[in-house]
Amino acid sequence: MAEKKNVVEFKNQAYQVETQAPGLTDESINEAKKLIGVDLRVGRATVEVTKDLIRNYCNMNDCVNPLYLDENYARKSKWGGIIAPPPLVGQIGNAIIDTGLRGVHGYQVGEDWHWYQVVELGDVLVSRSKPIDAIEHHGKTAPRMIEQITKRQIWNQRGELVCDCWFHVMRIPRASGGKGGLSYEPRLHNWTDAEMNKFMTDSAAEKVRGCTPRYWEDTKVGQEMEPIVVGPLRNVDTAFIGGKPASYDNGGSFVYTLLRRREHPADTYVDPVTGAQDHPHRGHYEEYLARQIGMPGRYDGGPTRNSIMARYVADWMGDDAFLQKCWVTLRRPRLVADVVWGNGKVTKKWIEGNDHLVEVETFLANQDGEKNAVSRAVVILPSQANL
Amino acid sequence: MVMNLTVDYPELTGSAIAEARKLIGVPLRRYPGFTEATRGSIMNWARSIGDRNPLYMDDYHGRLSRYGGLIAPPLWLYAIDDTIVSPKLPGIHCIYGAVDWEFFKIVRMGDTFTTEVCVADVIEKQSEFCGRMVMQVGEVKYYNQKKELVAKASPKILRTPRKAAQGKNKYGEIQKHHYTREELTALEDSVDEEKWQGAIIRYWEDAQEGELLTPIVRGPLSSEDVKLFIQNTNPVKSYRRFMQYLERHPLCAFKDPASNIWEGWENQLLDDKVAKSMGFPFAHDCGLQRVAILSNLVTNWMGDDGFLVKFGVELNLPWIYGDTMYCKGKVTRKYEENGRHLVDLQIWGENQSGVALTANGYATVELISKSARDDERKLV
Repeated sequence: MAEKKNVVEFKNQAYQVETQAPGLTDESINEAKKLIGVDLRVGRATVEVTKDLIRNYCNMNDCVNPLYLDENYARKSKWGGIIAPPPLVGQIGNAIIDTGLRGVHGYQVGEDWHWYQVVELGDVLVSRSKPIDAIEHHGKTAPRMIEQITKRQIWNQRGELVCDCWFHVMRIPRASGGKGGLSYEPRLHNWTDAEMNKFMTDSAAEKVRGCTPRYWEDTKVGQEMEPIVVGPLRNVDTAFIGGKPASYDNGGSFVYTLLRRREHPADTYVDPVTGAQDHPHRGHYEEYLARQIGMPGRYDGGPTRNSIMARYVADWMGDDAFLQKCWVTLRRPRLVADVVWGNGKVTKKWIEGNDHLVEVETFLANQDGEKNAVSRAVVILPSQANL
Repeated sequence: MVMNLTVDYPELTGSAIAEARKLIGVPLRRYPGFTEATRGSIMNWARSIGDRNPLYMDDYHGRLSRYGGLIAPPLWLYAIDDTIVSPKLPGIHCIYGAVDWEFFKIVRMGDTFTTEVCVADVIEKQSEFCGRMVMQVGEVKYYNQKKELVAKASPKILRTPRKAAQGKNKYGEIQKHHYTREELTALEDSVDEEKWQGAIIRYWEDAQEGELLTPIVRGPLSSEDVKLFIQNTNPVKSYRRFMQYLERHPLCAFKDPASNIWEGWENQLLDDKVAKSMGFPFAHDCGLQRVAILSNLVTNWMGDDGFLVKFGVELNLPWIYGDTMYCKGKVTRKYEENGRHLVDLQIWGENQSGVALTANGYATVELISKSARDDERKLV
């Protein structure tokens, strides 16, 4: 009967899966590269940029800049109306694309964005994604991991390319397999009431640059950005925040999940109590499953944190600037109850044609000082020379 | 094991009830999840209840329908206002107990909405679940951009003191169901065989009193299903937006004893321990989704040309994760009223063991009559 456990059964088919948590081998890298260059169905999306989408998205990355939310304010800005937050544009479509290596977990570990123009309210964005590379890594937390890089391109309704995005998904075996999974110790931070109250006061006091232009001339290399504080992450935030700029042509509940499972039987998790099929994604907000896949606790979605990183820079640069590039790398999970502090500084300043550019480097660190995300961004600032 | 949460669960007091009564008839501030019917908001919502009708997702199908384009399922209006009308009584739990809907207009793609919301009544009750409790009857009116009244909902929100419910432990004996291979196969069969009337007109003449509707099956329920529904109906406020709300409503959250962070009560939908502390057997569904799924039974049956006129249901047991809901219904009456050809349905949902998850479900559907001339088949 022991082998029966490893069969994922549907009414007309049964899949013999070696284990619910397979490991990675020397051959895995070839499998991870198999679909390179293929325009994947799962990567296709068409999304209308509506007020509802922007509002819900800004709730997800804790953005309060009225440029994205308040029509009267936005009308007076350089853009003449509400525009979409840059990370929203860059995240149109499916956040995780992990081809091959069935049953090996995929974690979103970063996004690199290049934006070419702003997106206005009412625009319709179309995205397509193709895997472009796979790289094998060896680390302390897991002996072997495979990073899959996918290029996502986003066009508007006029067929103009508005954003290129390279996103990185790390494939790491689930810990329950016992071979090569993540080796995190479980943790959950405990705060005092005074600390809790301080986060509330601190985050409420934060200001965005808004309509005061940040001139290139006034910006100096080495200049520090005003810090931000985000969190604590609640369990319900990991599950019930909306604003995902994806179209669910490929998603949905009940019958839609059944159809997906039939296509991807190895990604099916069988609940030991009910015997019903489910998805290990539940580890984001259920302790038991988080431990099964090897995470130290319930954890945030990678795209949420990437989005917070881009939002930090966009809030700093002001409404007259244009965020041109942002590369985000996630290094460690952000768990439920974790608070993260963002810091950054200007690292470079130069002129290219008519554009006055600065480069900033930012990071997020949690209460233990662990840097769990880093980013580098390039911003076109307004210049007094162009006034 | 019951969780010891660091916010005291307040008792239900007479003065708190009197405070709640003061708001009867007063227009309430709302936090809509969505305000516009767009292709995305309709399709994503429909898919989150497992609806497969192309009328809500496929432009081409919508174009050929009598509406000339995509429309929204009637209960999609939950995304405009979730009808949880429960002001005051801080710290007293909210259960979505029942709802009565009346529909007047179709929701088309591109429509935008405003609502008028108030409490219509506050009634004290006794229950097996928690002893003394309060029922808040709400009134939610939905208007489109032309200021037309599109629908009216009358939700009944039960306010149950958590400590009392924990003490009564009404569902103490409930166990999770373990499915056999045969049961799972039968479930898959029902999903594969689900039928919707679609573009083929269901004529009023063809409906028979006593006729059974083809059941629809949803489950086994997973937190992933509930998550998707909430994301597409009314996502939770997070970070600073949550903290602002918390300042005005200090009992809208509890402090998780393990981390001491403010955690939302929505956590009862994810965490068995939290659900148990409020008198529930396990983490479970959100009632709105159950109502919405039951309406899917009716929209599947009536077809693209039918119009849902009235719809209502009571929710009587939590739909716990792992359980499956079978939605069933039958035609109880067929009649003409003011020139409309109507059919009354009785509808209900039960779990895999035949235990009723809903009570007193009903729907009134307007169907097209073979006798109607084309110009009488007017659009709503």
